[in-house]
This record gives sequence, structure tokens and C-alpha cells, in this order.
Amino acid sequence: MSMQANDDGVLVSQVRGGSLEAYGELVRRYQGSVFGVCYRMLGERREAEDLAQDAFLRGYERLETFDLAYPFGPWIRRVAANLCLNRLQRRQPVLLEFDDEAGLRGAPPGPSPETAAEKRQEARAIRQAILALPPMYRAVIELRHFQDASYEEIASTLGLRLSDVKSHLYRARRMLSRRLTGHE
Amino acid sequence: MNDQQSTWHIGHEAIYDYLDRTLGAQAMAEIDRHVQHCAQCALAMQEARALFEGLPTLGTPPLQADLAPRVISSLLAARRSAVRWRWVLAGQAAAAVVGLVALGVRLEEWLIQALHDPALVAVQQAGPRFLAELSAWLAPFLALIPSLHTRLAPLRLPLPHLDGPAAGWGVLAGSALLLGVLGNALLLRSQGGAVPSVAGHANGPAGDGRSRT
Repeated sequence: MSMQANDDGVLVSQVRGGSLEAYGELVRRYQGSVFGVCYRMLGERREAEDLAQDAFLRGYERLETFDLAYPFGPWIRRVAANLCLNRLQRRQPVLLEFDDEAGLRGAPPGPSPETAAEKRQEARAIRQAILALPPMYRAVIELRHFQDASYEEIASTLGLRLSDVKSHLYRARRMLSRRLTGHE
Repeated sequence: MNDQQSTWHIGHEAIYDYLDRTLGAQAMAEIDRHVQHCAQCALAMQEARALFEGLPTLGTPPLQADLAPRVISSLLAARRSAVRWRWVLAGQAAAAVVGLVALGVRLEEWLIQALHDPALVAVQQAGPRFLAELSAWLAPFLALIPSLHTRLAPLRLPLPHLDGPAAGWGVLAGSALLLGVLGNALLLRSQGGAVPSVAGHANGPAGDGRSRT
């Protein structure tokens, strides 16, 4: 177990003992990555912030189910992914573009402006391809490729059979690949 | 690389499994060997690898607000609400207990009074007498039944053969039906007498239980 995970365990124990300050510390630690999950899945900053907040509230409610042997970060990010999936399944699929492309961060800048522009173009294409996926496919891509979750963890998080996880992942990747290579 | 030399190609599922590292060592090695000699599979592998490597590098905009104060204030509000509800529920439970005790005491008083009610005593005494009178009233009808077949024979009615237990049950059912009809008719027409008095007292709990004497 890493130092951070161990530290998370101490904080979780304090929260279980009634300390809201300790939970505030956990929120500060993981709010960025939880927001990232929500933003990638929903594509809207405001909605992603609301869902990230909901994820922490839901996490607090279910803290008794959290196993102290594991790190808190992946657990709360999976709670967030599940909430986003529920939200996506309820709403109409109208959004086809992220609402804050200019503010995106994370992609390393290229050595030249041309390369950087090319990278940005690629990233934009990938984001649009992700937003065109059905909600469940978006969720499995998020969990596998961004959370590095195993098939078993994805199955457990989304309440799916292992075979369904594999087939959803396969189809989602094929859809992404076809969109990105223009072979639709 | 020579595409012409390959007679088979790796499926996309196998390529994804390869990149997910969920294949066995032998299968992985076989794919490694194959893509070195098959241009089509090498291209498919390259595209899949680009996707796998490109996805995690996608950026997200920075979170502009600190969620911690919002989360904590929501949790505090929920906690206050839970405490408030706990008090409300405790109050309701206490009120329910007091109410039940009061009801029990009142019910006990009522039962004691009702057991000594002269009307009830009168009904208890009148019951056997009423049954005896009813039996006497029904006796001629009951005596008539065994001879019913003989008496109705000249009319050549298609009556079923009634005797033994079936006849007994039939008489009982018919009598019960007749009594029901007559009883209801009596209740509707008369407010006095023994039978209405019983019916009236049966509604006792709605009143004070002592009014009919």
C-alpha cells in the first residue's frame, strides 16, 4: 500500500469517526481527478462540477462500504463514473462537443507550434469521438483507459458481466477507431 | 514486411487483447511475429496503439471552484436535518405510546362497563329463549320435508331425490337463507324488540355503551 493510500485510510477512519474536516481533506485531494472523470464523460463544465460534488456526497454516504486496504482515489472516481453514466442514460444525447476546449490541459505541448496544433487537433477529434459514444461505452472507455481499471473492476463498478465488459469495450474501441480513421 | 506472404490476419479483438495485455505469453509472441511480416495487421496494430496511447493523454480543464466547502456544507445540512428528523420521530413515537396507553385504559373502562350493561345481560338471557322459539317455529317446516316428495308427486315436478344428509344440508341452507331474509326485513321494519336491541348494542363502541337499557 502506498503512503498516500495509507494516509487516505487514516482520513477515512477519521471521517467514520465523525470528522467532516477529514472528508474535506479527501475532497481536496481528489476533486481534480473526479471532476476530470465527470468532464470527460459529460463534456460540460458546470454539469461536471455538479456531478463531482454529488460523487463526493454519494461517497460519504457509502463510506462504510469502502475497503481501507485500497486507495480512496480510484474508488471515488468509480463512484463518479457510475453517477455520470446514470446522468447520461437519462438525458438526450445532444452534446457533441466539449464546452471548454480552450481551457483544456494535460496534453504536453509539442516541440513546434505546428506539432502542438496537430496534437490539439488529434485530441479534439478523440474527444468528439468519445462524446459520440453511447453512455455505457463511454463509461467502459473511461474506466479502462483513464482509470486503468481491470475488466473485473469495470464489471463490479457498472454491475455488468465480464463478457459484457469485454464486448462493450470492443465495440466502443471499434467505434472510436472508425471515427478517428474516418472508416465509418 | 510483406503483406502477400500472410494468409491470415489478426482480428481487432485480438489486437485489443494484446494491447490490454490479457493474452498469454505465447499468443503475444505470435502476434509480435505476425505483425513484423504483415503490413495490414501492422497498420491495424499501429492505429489501435495510437488510440490506446492517445486516450489517457486527453486533457481536462482545471477545476475552477474548491468543492470541499460545498460538500461539507451539504453534509452539515444533511446532518442537521437528520438530527431534526430524529427528534420529530422520537416525539411522534412518544405521542403514539401515550395515545396507545390512554386508548388501552379507555378500552378497559368501556369493556368493564359493557359487561355490566343491562342490555347485554338481557340479550344473554334472551338468546336461548329466542333459539327455542325459532326451533318451535321451524319444526312444522322440518316435519314437512320428508313427505315433500310424496306430496308433490302428483304434480310430476322434476325435483331431485332429496333424502339423507343432502336433504338435511339443503334444509339447513334454505333455512339460513330464509332466516337471513326475514331477519333483515325485521331489522328494517322494527326498531324495538329483542333482535334490534342486539343489533343496536353491537354498535356499542361507537357510542357510550350504556345508553340502551
